[in-house]
Order: sequence, then structure tokens, then C-alpha cells
Amino acid sequence: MRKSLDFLLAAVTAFCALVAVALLVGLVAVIAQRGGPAVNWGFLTEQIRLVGAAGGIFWNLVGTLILLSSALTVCLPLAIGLALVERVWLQREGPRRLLRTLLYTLNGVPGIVFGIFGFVVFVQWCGWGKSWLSGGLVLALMIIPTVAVSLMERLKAVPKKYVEAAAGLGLNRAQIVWAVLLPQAWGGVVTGSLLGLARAAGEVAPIMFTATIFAGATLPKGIKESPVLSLPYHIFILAQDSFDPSVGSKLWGAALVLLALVLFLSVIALPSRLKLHEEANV
Amino acid sequence: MTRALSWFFSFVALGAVTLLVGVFVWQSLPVWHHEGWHYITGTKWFFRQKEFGTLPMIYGTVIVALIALVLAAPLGFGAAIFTAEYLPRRVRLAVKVLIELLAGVPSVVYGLLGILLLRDWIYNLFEKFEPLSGDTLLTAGVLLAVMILPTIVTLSDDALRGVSSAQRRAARGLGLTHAETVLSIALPQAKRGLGAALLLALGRALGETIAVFLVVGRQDNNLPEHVFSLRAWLDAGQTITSKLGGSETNIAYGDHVHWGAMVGLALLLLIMTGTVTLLGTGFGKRSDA
Amino acid sequence: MSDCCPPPVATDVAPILEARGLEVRAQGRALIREVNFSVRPGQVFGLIGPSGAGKSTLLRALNRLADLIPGLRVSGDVRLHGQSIYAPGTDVNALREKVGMLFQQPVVFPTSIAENVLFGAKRLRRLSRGERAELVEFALTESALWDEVKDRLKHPATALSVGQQQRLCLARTLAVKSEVILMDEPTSALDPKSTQAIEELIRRLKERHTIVIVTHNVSQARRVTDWIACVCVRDGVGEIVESACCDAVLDNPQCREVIEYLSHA
Ligand SMILES: Nc1ncnc2c1ncn2[C@@H]1O[C@H](COP(=O)(O)OP(=O)(O)O)[C@@H](O)[C@H]1O
Ligand SMILES: [Mg+2]
Repeated sequence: MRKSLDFLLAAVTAFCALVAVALLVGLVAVIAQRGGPAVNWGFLTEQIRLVGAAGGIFWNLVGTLILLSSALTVCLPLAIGLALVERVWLQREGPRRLLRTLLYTLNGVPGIVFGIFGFVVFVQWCGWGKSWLSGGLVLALMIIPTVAVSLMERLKAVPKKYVEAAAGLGLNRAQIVWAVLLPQAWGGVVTGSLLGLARAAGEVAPIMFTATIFAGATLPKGIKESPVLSLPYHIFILAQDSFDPSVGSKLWGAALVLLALVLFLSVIALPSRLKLHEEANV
Repeated sequence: MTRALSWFFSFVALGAVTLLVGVFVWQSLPVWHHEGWHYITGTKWFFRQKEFGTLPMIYGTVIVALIALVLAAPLGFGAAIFTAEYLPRRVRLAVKVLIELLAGVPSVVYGLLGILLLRDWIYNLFEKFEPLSGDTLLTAGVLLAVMILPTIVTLSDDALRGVSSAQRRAARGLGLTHAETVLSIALPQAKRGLGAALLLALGRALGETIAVFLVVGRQDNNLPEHVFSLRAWLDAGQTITSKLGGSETNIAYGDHVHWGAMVGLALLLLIMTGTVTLLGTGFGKRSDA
Repeated sequence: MSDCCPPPVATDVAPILEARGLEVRAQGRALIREVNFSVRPGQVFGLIGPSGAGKSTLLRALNRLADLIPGLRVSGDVRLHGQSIYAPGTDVNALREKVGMLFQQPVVFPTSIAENVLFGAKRLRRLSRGERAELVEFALTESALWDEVKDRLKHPATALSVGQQQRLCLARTLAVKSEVILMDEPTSALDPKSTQAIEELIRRLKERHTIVIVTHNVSQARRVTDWIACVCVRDGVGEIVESACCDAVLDNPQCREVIEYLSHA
């Protein structure tokens, strides 16, 4: 009885794990298998033609990169500021916890809510219309928690002795931040940014009303009325009328490229995350 | 200088968050004036007739998320128990990394798979119930289940690993089996963390837009008599997010009440996900203490 | 066994626990090797030796808790009542039930005091409500904790002092009716008063149990043990370098390593 329970639990949980892994790996395999044939050099460097049935996704890639880089530029100072305030400048535990809770909550806010927010504030109030900058700002707001929390964790892990040694040399807090804390914890900013970008790269909901259109945009020339194309929105639109077989293969190709971009960003974030894991486990 | 800059940027960020909440409360005021509580309890949404009842969408949102949770939780917990309690450390890390990577797969990719594969499977599998198409609440729920699975696995695994190994060793030292140790030591002591994993996954399911949008059918005003029946789930439905993601959002701006009704939906969503996330983080935190 | 030790005194009682050529390796490196000893029923068998010599590792090999530590390889043999515990088909859980373990830091489960006592017993045997109450009282009395906690059996065990927690762990082991109890420096985390309580317990328990105790404390070894094996590091590997009755080792050590260890301890 006890023996069979012992075996049963191991078998059942092993089965669950197998199903979970198989499901997720299978999903990637399907995308790779169907999208693979469509992806070639031309696909990446040509512009879209015939409503997605021909040509490539060059401007979609460019648009996504524009959105990502503007989001990162805006997000970095805000996230670093928040992390420093939480770890260094706030002295009492109460406000610190409040700030952390706020960040966790912000992290749970659905993408579509950011989208509507951006639509009201940037598209309508600022009168920008659909603009790459609206998209960048909205995405920046969305990934602030990821970057800030990642940096906070690293700042927390900086050994006390370094801070004490620096203070012993007569450095003030600001000098300690620049000389000890930020250099030691910079990996947190990098990891957080990569993960944040991986998330932002795949999101449609925040940018569908604020920044991106399906066809007919290249490099933006200003801020007002200067939308961009983007990879996830492209897939989103094509997926809704995916009955045209010639669109089909291009669609899978675009999905494969997007998936590769996102996985690439998460994979280069891996080593430093693993290191943190190892340290946490010792 | 450093200090001033830190505070400045923090205030900008906090200001943006405050503005976000403020915008949703303020912009949705017209519909609260127009509908009152009927906005939440009303079952009909006809914007031309200026009738805005959101109950069918709240139902859709909740039921889709619950289906996802019910499907994903046992599988996710099982997988987490296996990774945390049975696998050697290195293999466990490898599996965890794999699962976390897959947690980052964009929702539009899941949506695509839903449209091109899952929709037909559901349609064929439940043919004898004669669904109108493969775009159903159930399809959305199943798709969401796959999407939140990595979240459940990785957070539950963390929770289980948080239980001290001295406790496990002591139980084994008394002659308890591996399974008994898992069931009487690891699971009970990790239960807060496991609860938090479920809540955070639920938050993700409630707020997911694109994947649901693509497979839920986006049928307004569908509120069945029996909310917990498979047949009802095999109808197309509408969730808050799929409504917000649709073209009505573009039309609505300009009409105060209609726009208020749309923004009000976002506010409801914000409240639902916010509550669940807050509960989830609060829950998990206390288990560490 | 090392050359400078006299052979263990033969007695007419069959040993309850013996190690034969026991060796534990980790990552290809031996941690302990060539460990041979016999423990007689009712004996308090002491293991002393410098830190890091491998005493805890040795102890864990005696009830196969070492199996649960990844990377450890055990070879050689350990016999309980003459039966090899490493023989294929051995019921490891039943073995650990018979050979209990007390750790250096007490590990209580986050439930009530009574539940802690019953934690193993109620899963290993079917117990009626009355039997449970009886068992709790028996085990707590045996471990000299009953008077202190009898009014708060339903209270959380984590609120007890460390000394009380250690006695609770002992009660938990007694409740599953262990024959042999392995103790790994059971008093090194405790205050003098709790230490004294545990030592008294050991002296009382040996009427019905056999005890293998690792201790760091020479005077404790003198107070409670009947027989002592000294584990020292030779060529980077832990070995039993000397093994004799208590006073012989402590007053008249033969080995260079033991003399050195005792002079520092
Ligand atoms: N799992 C392990 N892997 C590798 N080395 C170990 C492991 N466990 C213990 N050791 C090593 O074995 C030696 C003996 O440790 P231990 O048995 O704890 O000594 P003692 O209890 O006598 O102080 C130490 O040098 C320790 O580093
Ligand atoms: Mg030790």
C-alpha cells in the first residue's frame, strides 16, 4: 500500500512533467516546421507585398526594433531610479514595501490596459495619432517592473562588506552607488532589460491602438501620425484571415522569426540568471 | 544629485501609474452616470441603443480563466512536484530553464496555433454537441491553459524548493517514503506559495487579450442559463479583453457614454487582475517569512 | 582497523549493528574508508574525531540516509542483526524506521507537539485514537519532556526552546520504536541544562535501545559512552584509527592522531 503510493506519485508526476514539456516543445516544433520553409534572406530583407501573400517582413522587423529601442531608452532611467530609491534612498521598510507592491501590481496589469491608456493619453490628448513614440512610451511603462525588480534583486545581493569598505574610505551614499552598487549590480539591469524586451517584442495589445499599422509605413519621419509596421501585429492581422494558403506560409514564417527573436533575447539573459540561481541555492 | 535624479525618475514613473489609474476612473465616469450598477449587472450591450451591460463579458472572462486554471493546475502542480522533488538538481535546472523560456512565447503565437490547430480539434472532438464553429469559450480556455502552464510550473517549483531540505531529511529519517514526505512535508509547507502560483496564473489568464481574441468567437450578449455546462462553453462568447481588442474601441472614442463604457471595461479588468495579483504576491510573501 | 589498535573485545552477544569495509566516496574522492566496527545491543557507541573527518557521513551511511545525498557512493557493508542493509531488495524505509537519526540542529515539523510525536508513527502503523494519546505520553515521558509540555500538546512545536525541540525529535524517533538511534552531535547546539537532560536520557535509553553518538565533546564522551571509535584523517581520508572501551581511548590513546586530537579538544 505505502509502496504502491510511493510508485504512483512518482509515475503520475513524471507523466505531468512529460506532458508539460512535450506540449511546450511541440509547440515550438510546429512553428519551426511550418515556418522554416518561408524564412530566407529575401523574407527578412524585402518589404511586404500583396497583403502579406508575397514579399517579406523587412519593415516589420525595423518597426519592432524602433519600438523596442525607444521603450528601452525611456524605461532605463525610470526603472533604475525606482530600484535605487527602493534599495538605497528609502530608509524605512513601510514605504519600501509599498513601492515593491506597486511594482508587482504594475507587472500584473494586462497589456490591453496599457494600450487603452496610451490611446487616450498619447493618441488623443497629445494628438500624436498612431505614432512609434506612443508605442515606445507604453511599452516602456509596461516593462518598468521587470527591469526595476531585476536590478533590486541584484542590489540586494551585493555583499555588505563592499558597501562597508567603501563607506570606511569616506565615500558618501551617492559615491557608493556609482562606485560599488551599480557596477556590482549592472547585470540585473541587463537581465531585466533583455527579459522586458522579450516580453515587449511579442505584445500586440499595447501597440495595436497606439503605434502600429498593417501596411504602408517605413521609417517614421517625425512624431505625429508616424506609425510603424511591427512583427506581432502583422501576425495578428494575417492570422484573422489565414484562409489564403499563400498567406499561410508567410504567416508561419513571420511567427517563426518573432519566436526566434523573443527566445534569443531570453536565452542571452540566461547565463546571469542561472548564476543568480546557483548563488541562491548554495 | 544622484539622489535627486533617482527621486525625480521615480516620481515620473509613479506619476505615470497614478495617471493610468486616474484616466480609467475619470474617463469611465459617464457610463457610471448613465447606467449605474446596471453597468455590471446588465446583460445586454447594444451601443447604438446606448445600452451597456457587461455581465456577459465578465462571465466570459471569468469562465475562460477558470477553465484554464482547472486544466492547468493539476498538470502544473504534478510537473512541479516532479521537477522539485524527484529530479536531480542539474536536470531540474535544465527543465526549469526550458519551461521558463517557453513562458515567454508571445501570445500572438499561441493565438496563431489556436486558430490553425486547436479550433479544429475542439470542433471535431465535440462534434456531437453541434457547436456552430471551433471558436468557443472552451477553445479560449484550453489555449489559456497551455499559456499559463509555465507560470504555474515554475512558481510552484520555486515554492516547493523553498521548503527546507532538513525537514525532508528528518521525515525520511523516521522511515517515511518519498511520496509520504512529499505529501506530508513539502506540499503542506509550500501551500501558500502554491496558492500564490495559482493566483498569479489566474491574473495572467484574466488579462490575456490577443490569444483569446483570436479563438473566442467574440459573440456579444452570450450569457447562458447554466454557466457551468459544457454545452454553454461550446458557444462563442466575449471576454472583456476581446471586446477591448476589437474595432469598437476605435469607433467609441468621441461618444462620451460609449467611450466611458469601453474604458469602464478596462477599469473592471484592472480591478480584477489587480486584486488577484495583489492577493497572489501577498500570499507568496508570507510563506517566505 | 589500524595497526596500533587492539582488536575489539569479543563478547558472547551477537552485534546488532556492524560495519564491514565501509567506504563512502564523493566525486571520485573517498571521504571515509575501511570502516569496521561492531555495536552490541544496549551499548552506547561513541564516535569522536576532528571536524571534517567524516563522522556525519559515516553516520548517514548507517541508515542509508546517504542515499538521499546526490553524489555520495557507499561501498562495503553494514549489517543490522546480521542482515546486510545494502543488499538488493532491502526495504529502506523500514530500515530507517528501525535505525532512527537525531540531527545536530533539531528539525521539528511546523505542526503541533503531539502531531510531531506521531508524525512517523501514525503513517507506519494503524493507530486508534486511544493508542495515539498513549503513544504521545509514552514517547514524551521517555524523552523527559512530558512534564514540560503535557498542558500544551496542541501548541505549535516551533515555539519550544531548542533544547526541548531536540528532545521532541528524540520522542518522535522513540514513537516509531527505533531499535538503534544515531545521534549526530545532538547537544552541540544546546545550552548546558538541555545538554545535561539529553545525557541523562542517553544513559536511561540504553536499557532498551542501542545508541551510536557522534560527539565533539570529550568529557561528554566519557560521561555517556561505553565504547569509542576515533575517526581521524589519514592521507586525506577519514578512517577509524583507534577503537576501544571508553577509558582506554581517552586516558591511554595509542595513535599519534588521537593523542593530538585529544590534546587540542
Ligand atoms: N555530499 C558531499 N560531497 C562532497 N564532499 C562531502 C559531501 N558531504 C561531506 N563532504 C566532505 O566530507 C568530509 C566529511 O564531512 P563530515 O562527515 O560532515 O565531517 P564531520 O561530521 O566529521 O565534521 C568533509 O570534508 C566534507 O567537505
Ligand atoms: Mg558533522
